[in-house]
Amino acid sequence: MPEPRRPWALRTAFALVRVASLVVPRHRREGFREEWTTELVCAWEIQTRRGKPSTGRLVSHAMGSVRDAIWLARNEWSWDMLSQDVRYALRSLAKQPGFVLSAVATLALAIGSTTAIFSVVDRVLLQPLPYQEPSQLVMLWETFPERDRFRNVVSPANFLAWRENTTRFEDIAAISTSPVNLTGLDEPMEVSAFRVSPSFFKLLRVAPFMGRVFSDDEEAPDRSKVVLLSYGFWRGTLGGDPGTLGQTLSLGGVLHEIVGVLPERFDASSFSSMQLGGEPQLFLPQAFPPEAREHSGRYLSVLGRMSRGSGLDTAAEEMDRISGRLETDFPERNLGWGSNVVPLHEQQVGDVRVALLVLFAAVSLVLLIACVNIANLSLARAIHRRREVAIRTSLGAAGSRIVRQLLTESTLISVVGGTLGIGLAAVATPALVSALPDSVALPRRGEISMDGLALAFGLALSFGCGIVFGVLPAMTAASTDLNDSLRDGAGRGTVGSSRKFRALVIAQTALALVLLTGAGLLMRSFFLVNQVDPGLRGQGVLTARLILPRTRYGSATARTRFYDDLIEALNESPGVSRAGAIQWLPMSGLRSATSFYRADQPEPAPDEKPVTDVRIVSSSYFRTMGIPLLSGRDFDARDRTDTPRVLLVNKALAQQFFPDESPIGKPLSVSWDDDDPTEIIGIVGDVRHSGLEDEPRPAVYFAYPQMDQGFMHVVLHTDGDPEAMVTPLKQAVGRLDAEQPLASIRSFSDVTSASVATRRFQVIVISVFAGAAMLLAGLGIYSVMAYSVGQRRQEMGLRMALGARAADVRRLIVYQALGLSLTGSLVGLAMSFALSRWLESLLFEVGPTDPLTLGSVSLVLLAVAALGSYWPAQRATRVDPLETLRSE
Amino acid sequence: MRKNGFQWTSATAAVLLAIGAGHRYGFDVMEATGLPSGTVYPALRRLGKKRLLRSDWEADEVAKDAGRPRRKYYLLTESGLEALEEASKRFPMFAAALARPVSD
Repeated sequence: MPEPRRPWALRTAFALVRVASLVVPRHRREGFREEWTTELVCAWEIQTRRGKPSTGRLVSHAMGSVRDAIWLARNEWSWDMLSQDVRYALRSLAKQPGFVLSAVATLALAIGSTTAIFSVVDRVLLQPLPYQEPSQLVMLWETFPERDRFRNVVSPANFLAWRENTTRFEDIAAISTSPVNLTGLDEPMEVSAFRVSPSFFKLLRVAPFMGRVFSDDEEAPDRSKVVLLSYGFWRGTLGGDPGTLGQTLSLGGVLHEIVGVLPERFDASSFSSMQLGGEPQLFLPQAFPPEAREHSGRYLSVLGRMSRGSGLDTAAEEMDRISGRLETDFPERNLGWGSNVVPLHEQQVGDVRVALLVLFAAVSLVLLIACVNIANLSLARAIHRRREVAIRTSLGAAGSRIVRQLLTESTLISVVGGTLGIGLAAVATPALVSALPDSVALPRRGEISMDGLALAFGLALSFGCGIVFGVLPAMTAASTDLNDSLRDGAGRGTVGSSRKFRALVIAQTALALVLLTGAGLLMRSFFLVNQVDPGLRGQGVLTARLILPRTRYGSATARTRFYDDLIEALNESPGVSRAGAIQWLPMSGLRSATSFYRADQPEPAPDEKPVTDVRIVSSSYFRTMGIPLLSGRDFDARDRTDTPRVLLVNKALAQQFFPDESPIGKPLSVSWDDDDPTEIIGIVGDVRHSGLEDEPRPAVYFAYPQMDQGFMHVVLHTDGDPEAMVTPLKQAVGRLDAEQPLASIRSFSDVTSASVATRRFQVIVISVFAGAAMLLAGLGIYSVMAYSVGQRRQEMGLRMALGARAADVRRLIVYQALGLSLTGSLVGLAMSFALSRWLESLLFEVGPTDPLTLGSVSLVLLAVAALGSYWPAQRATRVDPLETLRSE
Repeated sequence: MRKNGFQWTSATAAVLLAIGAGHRYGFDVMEATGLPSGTVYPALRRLGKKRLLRSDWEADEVAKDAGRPRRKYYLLTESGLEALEEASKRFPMFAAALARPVSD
């Protein structure tokens, strides 16, 4: 019996079932369709047999398939079904282990590094500080806008006045750094310490690990002989002795009672602007004697907690009002001075924000380039698989199904790579951070680890990358024209696909150029910084810090005698060619400054006085450090405690304030110990005291016998290895005073090198990323050209049959690669122009559009393109013309 | 009524009882129970997922000879038989109505 043409009622019902089947999981789909087809045929037959076939009834019957399909979709769309997709993908990937391995490895590295940098950005910039209600915590600074000073340390007098007058703050606390000498243990040592107002711990809501924090009355000088230990100091130096509370420590020769130990995670190192000795190991009460109200010297950092309901605006407004009143009431020390309220988070991480974001952008670019690279490779695979896809499509597979299958493959690669990368990042990030030298500026480094957000970020990246590099190839494969592909030989590319290839190569080159430009600019800055003449010769110089405690060196005479004896002893030590001393060591980032004026001219108003650095040195300092004496005389034996005070100025001060005359013999009034007119006896060369990147500032030098000082840095020059002088130095100090410790013993080269450590670190990291980008771009060009040569074998064969020489064919391929690379470079240059202003604050004496840098990175990329296309070009010349012609 | 975490509904019970009475494929079950396809099929799926039913496709030759597409037959499993007993007790009226000899 010939099968009758099915009535349209049935066809409508079938169509409904087909549509419904789209939501049915694949492994149930075929059965679903077949069962419902039977179902509908059966229903129609019975209706017909009963003589009343109704389209409406049949269609309503078919509607049941929709409910069935939804039920199946809800209940059977399971891991089974995903695993089926995945199994299929695995089978397909197993056929190309080379591709899979390289893609997984590339992604593991790229996603791993991106996740690692993100976890740093996350912990440092995004996560709130580890204190309760951290957004209420602020730092308070004095400002002197005229001198571009917006975060100046605060004078005790102003701190006390602020504290008494604010209503917007729960409380404010003063902090100052003061290393102290610890004696009475095995050997004397210098320990870094913070002096803090008792309210400091209450503001931060820090509970002690043991014992108690300071009570308010311990701010009184006679009650302040108590000390809190950091957890590290308690464990390390005191061996974690549980009976430590109530014992005493001899600090600077004075006994202090241990009242508490702070918790392990409490890190206060970023609180002070003057970090002498790094992370504080001890905390002492910041006591203010009654005369502190008169002191105009500024040395305090001030932490505040805004009261609930007060915001930054209201707090700043009130502070402005208070400092305005202080300026009016005490013009002699406050004229021109104001106040500034800075959120604590901004204070702690503001300096590294740009650098971290630049690193994050760099690593993201590498990841993007890696995705483009894999997209390239998958596109080639997709084109190879066109026939397979065409056959499956002609057999009824939906385009969306094929897209999904290819995306499953790319996501699988990416998730495997990503998981490896995240694992790598989780292990490597904390290890790398802890291996970073202290001199690299990275706040909150103790907090850095991979948290949930970073993990989620890494996972999202993994899936995202799979889609990013999978979508183009998948669309290409699915949009294949059936007839074309079936007619064509296997895996023949089309014009459209080669256009996609070219676009990918151009994109990759452009991104690589952006990254290389950034790296190039930073590298050039680093080079230029290192070219800067610091104004002194630090080779062969060993330095160390000495703090003479007031308890044993109570008078200026005693201190002077100690320094005199030490320098004399060192000068006589074998191996030492010269020895001297200075208060704040150059290149260590610390300095002191004050206002001054020419005493032979009328005194300017307080807010119009210029500022000079103040450096206190020994007479032998300039010779030891190789700083030239330009005119006049150096300090010498005449400049004693009991002779009239004299000073030396640097070239910058001489040129700026004595432009047309010799300053020698002229008086300066420097507001330091007092502001009596002091005679200038000589001019010395400029030194980049604050670091290689800072212009020399005006500076005056006093001789230590004539200007009292609690601490000095010893500098000694040797013709040999400075490290070899450590023992002789320690012995020389020990012979003078067995209880006197030395701290911060290091060669001056190390000091200089530490001053550029952050920059060096940035350059290394970004260069690694740029190198990776370059490598990936080169591989991209290689794979595209290799593919293109494979596609054009016949063309090459034909060309050679018609008389083209190998060199012509080679040139053809290489030129094509160069063309792509050049286009990519132009796009990249445009992007660099747009983006590089973000980099500007990190550059030194080089503009963000430095032609030399831009030109050389473009050349490098062209060279990479030439190199990447050379082997494919070479292969093209080995095409046998006869063979390729025969194969068609 | 719950057993083995299975939530009985009257429709599921009716479908199970119909299969127990020898109605073996979707349309047959619908005819026997008078339930619409959108109720019967999910019930069949639920019973299948609970392994109270298993299903077999009819042999190709049989379908060809009959001049129709293959049918999918549903059969009770061991635990299906136990469940059938329980359903008969819970829904005696259904059981009585469905327990008729099968005509195919």
